Amino acid sequence: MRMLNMRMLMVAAAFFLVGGLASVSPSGQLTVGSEAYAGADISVNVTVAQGTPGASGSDDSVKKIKRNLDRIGGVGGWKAAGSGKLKVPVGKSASKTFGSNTFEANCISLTGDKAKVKISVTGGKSPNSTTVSASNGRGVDVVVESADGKTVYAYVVTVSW
Amino acid sequence: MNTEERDQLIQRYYDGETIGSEAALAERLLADDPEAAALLDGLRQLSDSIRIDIVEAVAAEDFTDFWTDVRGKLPKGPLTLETGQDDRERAREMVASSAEPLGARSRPWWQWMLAPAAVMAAVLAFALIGGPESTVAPTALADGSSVIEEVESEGQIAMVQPETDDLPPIVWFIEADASDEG
Repeated sequence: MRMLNMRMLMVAAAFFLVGGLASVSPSGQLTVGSEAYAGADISVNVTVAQGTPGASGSDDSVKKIKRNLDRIGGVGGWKAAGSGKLKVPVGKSASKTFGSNTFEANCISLTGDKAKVKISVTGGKSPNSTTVSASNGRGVDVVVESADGKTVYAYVVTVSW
Repeated sequence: MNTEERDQLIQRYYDGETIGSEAALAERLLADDPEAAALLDGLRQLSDSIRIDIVEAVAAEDFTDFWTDVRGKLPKGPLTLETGQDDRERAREMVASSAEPLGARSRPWWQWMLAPAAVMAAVLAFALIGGPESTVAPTALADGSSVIEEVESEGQIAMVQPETDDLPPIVWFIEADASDEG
């Protein structure tokens, strides 16, 4: 009977580990329960660049994100259009305006080694948004091209905590 | 636009993957730049040269050694309960699940292209039909450091480009109308 109970305990422990309800640290310490960082903040860094379809090259002002911009095919003439750092509490939103666009970051959750963040860029009547689950120091590049194809804005977003 | 960007644009134009004003730009390039026009001609000629009728290709395949190859996979000598029946069962499964020749015969090259073509078709279909409130399933690529879980837009199109080892994924929106510009 005691052996059966021990097995059940081991199965339960394995279940919790696989289900993400418990974790083992590199030092071997077992943590049971949610790893959500309630009340914590994340930092959302955003660098905005403006480009022109069909143009080439980029301004020195965007050299820090040049490699990101080089991946945006068919667009060049990049120049800086602003940057900012938003402090976003878990479960809350923060926003910043760049020209006529509003950039908003909503930290949906922060658990384990990932932050789930909804990034929205609103230029006109409706937002374009993407939800990304990113590791510390990673993020997403959001590209918004105007309907007439004349202007492109790139938002290079990095989240950290 | 440097030479590489021009060539990439012409390649996308040829593949029908241009977005926004890229098609118009490509057409201007083709009219003004002989090298761009030559590149497009080259792509078309290459495509014509490798175009192949699948039915003809299958008909041209030699299946005469098919059963010989299968027989070669079967165990030699009397079967034993431990090995022979298992091997025979595996061989039977292979025959039942695959219409392809076994053994040394290699797959025709065009069959290797079917899977990538299907993936490209799926991506293209998504790009074309991604209308209002487009969404995509979670996309985990490279090392999964950044996973795109959802994309929402009322614009004409939304595209997702995978992350690389050191650069994040790209999500590309085109605004719904000109008033959204900026």
